[in-house]
Amino acid sequence: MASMVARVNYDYQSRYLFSASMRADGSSKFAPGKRWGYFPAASAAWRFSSEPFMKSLRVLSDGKLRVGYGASGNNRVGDFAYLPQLQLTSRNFWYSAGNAPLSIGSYIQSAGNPNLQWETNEQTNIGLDLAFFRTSRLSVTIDAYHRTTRDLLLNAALPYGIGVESGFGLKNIGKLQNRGLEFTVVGVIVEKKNFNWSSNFNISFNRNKILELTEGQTSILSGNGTFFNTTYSSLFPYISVKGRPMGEMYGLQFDGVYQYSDFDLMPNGTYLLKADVATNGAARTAIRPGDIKYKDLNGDLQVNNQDLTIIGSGLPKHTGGFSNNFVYNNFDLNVLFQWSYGNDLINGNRYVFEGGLVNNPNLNQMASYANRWTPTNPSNTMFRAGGMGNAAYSSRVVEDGSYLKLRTVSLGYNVPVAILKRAKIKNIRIHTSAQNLYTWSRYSGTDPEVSGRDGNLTPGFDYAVYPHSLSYVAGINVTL
Amino acid sequence: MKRIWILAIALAGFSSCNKFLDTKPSDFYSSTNYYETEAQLQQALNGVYSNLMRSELYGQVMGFNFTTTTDEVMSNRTADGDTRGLRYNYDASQTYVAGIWKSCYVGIRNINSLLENINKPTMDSARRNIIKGQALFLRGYYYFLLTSNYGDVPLVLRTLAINEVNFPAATQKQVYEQVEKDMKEAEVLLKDYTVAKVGYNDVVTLTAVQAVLARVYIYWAGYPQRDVSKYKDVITYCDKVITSGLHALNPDYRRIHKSFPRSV
Repeated sequence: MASMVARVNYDYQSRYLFSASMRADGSSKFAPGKRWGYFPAASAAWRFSSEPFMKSLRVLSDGKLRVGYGASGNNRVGDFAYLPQLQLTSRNFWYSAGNAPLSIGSYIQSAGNPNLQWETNEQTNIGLDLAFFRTSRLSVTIDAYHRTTRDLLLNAALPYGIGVESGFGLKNIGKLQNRGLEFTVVGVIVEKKNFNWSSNFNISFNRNKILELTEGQTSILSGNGTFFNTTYSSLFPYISVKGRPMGEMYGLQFDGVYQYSDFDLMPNGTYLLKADVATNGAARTAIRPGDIKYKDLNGDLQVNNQDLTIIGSGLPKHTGGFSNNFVYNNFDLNVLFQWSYGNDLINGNRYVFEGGLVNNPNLNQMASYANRWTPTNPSNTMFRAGGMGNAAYSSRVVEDGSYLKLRTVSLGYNVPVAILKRAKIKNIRIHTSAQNLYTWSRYSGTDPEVSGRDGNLTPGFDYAVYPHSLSYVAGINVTL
Repeated sequence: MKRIWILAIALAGFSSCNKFLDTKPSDFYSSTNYYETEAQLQQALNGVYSNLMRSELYGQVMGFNFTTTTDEVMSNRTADGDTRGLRYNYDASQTYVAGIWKSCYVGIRNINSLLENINKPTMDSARRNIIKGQALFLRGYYYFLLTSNYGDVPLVLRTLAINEVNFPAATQKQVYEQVEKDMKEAEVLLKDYTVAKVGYNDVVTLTAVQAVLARVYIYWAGYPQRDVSKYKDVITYCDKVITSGLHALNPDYRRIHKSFPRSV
């Protein structure tokens, strides 16, 4: 890795500010000829409050308008990812002829991509800083940004005809757009001789959109993998569709539970699903009253892969924080709230503990499952014991993951200096704080702030994720 | 009052930076630093042979799942899951179906890479021809597996770059023509490489090429190509195997159970 930077700053009476830089980064992770990435940046600011004509406006103590553009790079791929790699140690590819011991065999493990280059992130932003009153008691910051990430370094699906075992190869693919708005308000609400209250409030909105995927691709499925048992391994709970936000939840739409009215009573006493009622993916004759029911979106009276749809979004509409500092004589108190609004979660624990999984009967269940469908309790929210149908991700366990958390409360007390002087101690501070004190949320799991699967394409998957812990800390600081 | 700061940091010259970034892999082989000795060509060929033994091909699927769909096996398994083939209902969602396709093309990529580098090492040309002949035969054989299972398939005769993802399928006739071309070339290259000379049956020898060519022709002559002109080639190649004097039919069924285990 080698880098060069050149920068120019210009400042005219603190009124007009200008800065530009050029950065060149070279990385040995890319093939010769593709190693260098060039990332320019420029920004300008106008402190309009310093203009003579603004001087009369006393309420505004500082005002600045900023615009900026910047590019940055990302080279996070393995060393020599651009070269095809041969594997010689796998005995599956060794060969024995004429009853001789196995002799070494090689095979091509990865295709290599000599065209790999820097992933580039371009951001344009415009911002406004305002401060009011003589002591700048109130300040407001507004920022809007537009960020485009192109040539993303991702593992792209390859046709098997290329002949690469994994069916994947690293490529610069796709284009992603993020747009957002951020507001911050900082203010001193009360300023008295022995009492002070200041607040900091911020809220941010971000929207992202996939502009391009790899050659001819319109969507990427993600989030597969073993989940309690292998029945679900090949199912994908997330999809990223071109033109839509990344990492949306993907599955069948839960449509309640089959009731007796959906069936015809056969002469031998069994129940057969009526011909005009869609199946749930299992064979028509195998479906019994109390089984799980999904929406048949294409109307072919059977639920299958064609009925999969987007069932939620793991990305919040807005997030933010609200922090308050109180100082009263020698006491100080800090209270911080944080929230996230409008994101969904897949509560994977409910597959296991609220109805059970395919191939894993006889598991302990959560108390809520006591209300399941039985002949005398025609529940429409929980299927009968053993009525989970085929393995599928569905909207049944997609929940609103919005939350408001009382993140931090900390209280401190500084022992008055007058008392300490006699003991020849400079300072004693007694403090106590608590983290994650309380969460307001409609989510039925332990903690709505989870992400059980790595990466941006699988937000909000909760399966046996360790929750944020509630912690208390108390301490005394003594300075001699 | 005007204040201007100009700050410029310039590191050492560009060319020395490029040299600094020029690193070479030291813990794995790449196609660029491989195929440099006869042993490495042989290793690449070994990998192609053993690729045929994987479970997606003759390790399991070709020898069991795809042959037992006839009346050889009556299964008491359920109608879904991995045993679907046993009940004549293979479809695209069956992993075995994709597995054959994928494994054949893995073999083909390795062969193409080997053939592209076959002249890289300095070595005895007769021994080079033996490796090349086997590789060509195996490429033909992988395409024979592909076209007899899938019909029209993409004909990939070089190592494709990672961005070459849209390649059309060739017609089955073109695929058979390529199989014929590869195998006939192999027949010439392996003309002295007989089983009598090698001493064992674990590698492709001249009569193996000829016998499989006869098999290719009989598929070509039958459904769905119905190129009946190929029947005479079937006879020609069967005759080559018979008149070689290297092989004979087993005179006694019981001998299979006596002599075969002994040789293993």
